[in-house]
Amino acid sequence: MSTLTEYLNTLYTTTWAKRRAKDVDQVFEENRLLNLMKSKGMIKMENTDGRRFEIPLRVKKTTTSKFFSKGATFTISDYDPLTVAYDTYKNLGDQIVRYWEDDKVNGGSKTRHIKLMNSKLDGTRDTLMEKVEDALWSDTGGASVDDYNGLPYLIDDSPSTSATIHGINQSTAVDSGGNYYWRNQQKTSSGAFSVYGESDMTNLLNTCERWGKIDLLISDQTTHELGEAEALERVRVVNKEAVDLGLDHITFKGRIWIWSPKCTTGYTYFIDRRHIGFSIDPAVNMTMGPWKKIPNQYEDVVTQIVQRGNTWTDKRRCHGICTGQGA
Amino acid sequence: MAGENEEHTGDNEDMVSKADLDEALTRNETLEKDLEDVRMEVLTPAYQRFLDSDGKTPEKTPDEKIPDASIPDDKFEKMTKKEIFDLAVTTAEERINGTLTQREQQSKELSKAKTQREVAAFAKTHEDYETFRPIMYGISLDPKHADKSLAQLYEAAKTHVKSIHSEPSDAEKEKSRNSVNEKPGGDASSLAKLKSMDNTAIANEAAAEVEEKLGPIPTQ
Repeated sequence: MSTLTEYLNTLYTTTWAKRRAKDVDQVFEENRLLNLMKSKGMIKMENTDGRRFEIPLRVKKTTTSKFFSKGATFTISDYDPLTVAYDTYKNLGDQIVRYWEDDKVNGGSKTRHIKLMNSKLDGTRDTLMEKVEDALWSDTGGASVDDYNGLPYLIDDSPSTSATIHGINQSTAVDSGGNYYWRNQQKTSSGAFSVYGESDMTNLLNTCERWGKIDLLISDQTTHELGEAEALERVRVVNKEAVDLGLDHITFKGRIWIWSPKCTTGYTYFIDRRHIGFSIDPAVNMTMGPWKKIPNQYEDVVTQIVQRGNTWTDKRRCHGICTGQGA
Repeated sequence: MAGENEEHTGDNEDMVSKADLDEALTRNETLEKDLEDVRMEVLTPAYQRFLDSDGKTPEKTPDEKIPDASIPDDKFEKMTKKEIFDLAVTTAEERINGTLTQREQQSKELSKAKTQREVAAFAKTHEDYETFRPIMYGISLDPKHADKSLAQLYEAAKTHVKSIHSEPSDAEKEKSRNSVNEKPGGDASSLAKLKSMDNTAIANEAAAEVEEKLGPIPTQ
């Protein structure tokens, strides 16, 4: 015969096992950036064993290709096409505490236990969702912090300054042609959005597309509204993918343009979703651990729900950021 | 014989009567026959082995399947009629079995060679034979396909592969779409069911499972 504590431990664990898939999906659906990454297949479920993960970059090119005439010779030399960037996996978690007294108060009422359990699980899920959102929009990352890499960290508003992303310093890393391959594009607004907004954004879009294909723009709310007001005729066209995902959006030259309350004011991110992703360990994706008794407390128990993963980019030149936009 | 001739010839040493000659020839022939019989008895391989084995019963060689050949006549004399009959039956059975085994072996070898020739010829005319060979083998193991020819098995294998690679149904497509990402807690179909339930319903379902396993909620 199990005790009340053991019974409730099993109930919480069983319920979370059933809810987890749905709640994980909710995290991705309610976070628009993650939802759009998922739509492009850039939410990767992969094992996170090892101290760090590798991000292969195609930076180097051969130097032996040439046009040639009859009898010409080729220089025989091999090259290593891969430059590998590294980063570390991060852990996100929250805990659920159950006090014996609360359990006793609810006694043998299944309804009351379920009500308390659902509110605790909902609360933990919401907190984790907010944490993910906060991390994705914070300008932090790398091995020195515990958070996931944020979008402002991966797409820097000052790409020529010394900063190390995935182990590569963006200010110094050059390819064989002397190009800074590890810097994203950045453009400071030329002036009022009503006058320069469209031209600035077009210019940055074209610059980014020299190395990739921009398919997502994210601004702060004010800039997004300016865009919608100033270019109403052109932004009316909707994007089918965004409609399918149920996203409230406008478009800029056919690209999805959304806003986020966490985005820095006056910023618009130009993102090539093929080169930015979020890797999660499927074995540790909002997984509930075992219930443990809290020392020196009578039958009070605690468990944790954890996720392990990180965001990454394997090409920075194709992304861009437009700063200083305003009315 | 020379002395005998001398005695008969008397006056004429070179002359011998016709009767004497015939008698001598007959005796000579009889003696030669007796000598051959003795020689055959003494020099048979079985008798030589018997001598070599120092009087012990000689071991039988594989090609020596006739027990009575190694049994001396005096031994037969000591045997009862029933024993002789049993020995005869055993010997006959062994001979028959030996012959049958040999024929069976030959038949198997012939059959195997024939099958190999057939398979080689079939493989030459069907380039994808090696692709379908494992499936053909699997089908042939089913007793209801035991009598099928190579061509029939080949056709059956192709039909089987075709049925596997047919266009997926809508349900299968939906399941595949759901399986793109990790779906903890069960397969894609159980996820679809759980996604359509609210959290209270999921909790009630979990509570029912726990109750089934642990009984009603304890109060202590």
